Amino acid sequence: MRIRRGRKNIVVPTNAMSDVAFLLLIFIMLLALINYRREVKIEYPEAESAKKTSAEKNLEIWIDSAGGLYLDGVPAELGRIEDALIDVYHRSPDTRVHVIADRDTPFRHIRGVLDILQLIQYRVVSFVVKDA
Amino acid sequence: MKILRRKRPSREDSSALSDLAFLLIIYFIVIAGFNVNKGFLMSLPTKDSTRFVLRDELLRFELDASGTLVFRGAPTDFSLAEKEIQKGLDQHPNIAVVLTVDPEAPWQKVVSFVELAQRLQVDSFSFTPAKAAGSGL
Repeated sequence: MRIRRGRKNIVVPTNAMSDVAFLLLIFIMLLALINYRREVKIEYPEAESAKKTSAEKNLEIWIDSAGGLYLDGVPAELGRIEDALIDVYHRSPDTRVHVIADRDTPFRHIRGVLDILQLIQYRVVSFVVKDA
Repeated sequence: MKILRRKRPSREDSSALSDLAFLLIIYFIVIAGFNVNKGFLMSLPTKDSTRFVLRDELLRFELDASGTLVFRGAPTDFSLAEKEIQKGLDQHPNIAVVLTVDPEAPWQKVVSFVELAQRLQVDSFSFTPAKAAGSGL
């Protein structure tokens, strides 16, 4: 005797997929906030043969076209930058210092920062540009 | 009587999942490139370091306030400067290149010269502000 059995269709609910996507989106947005990098509005100088200069630990000194100074994107006086550099130099000397200046910034504004770096014997400094 | 039935593997609709994974990979690749600085690494000398250079092994350039490159008193451009430096390197591989920068010179021009010096692999390159004594970088 042949017994007929009703076939069960296994259906995997995909409705939850949008929920998963939404949660992932929130997760990524939160992650992006943790790695948030403050940027100063500048026109980057351009160069054709720039190399990647980011290291594991980085400190960014921004100089806008008017000579305004920023430490990691936060406005700072030259004295404050000097203190921060000395502090970083003592805590983790392998921190890479990046000088990110506007292409039209007069050299005298950058010179002030370079003088401090030279004074505290910060040996390797990165001049940041964008690809031409 | 027990009837054996072959189990059919269930088909799960996972097409959306691969799309999602693909989009996430693209997102992470794009994001990874955001926080990377590109530029030139410069070694700063100590404040009081002095180096003696023979006159024949020294090429001195100047950048004036408008960003014009000056060589031996005459305005020049970066391509001519490149030729001069290359010629100097051919004659004296240890040639020193010094750039004197006017305080008002735009940063772009300084960076362009740094790029030129690094491209030509000038080992001894320094720049110093105009009207300042012995504090080259």
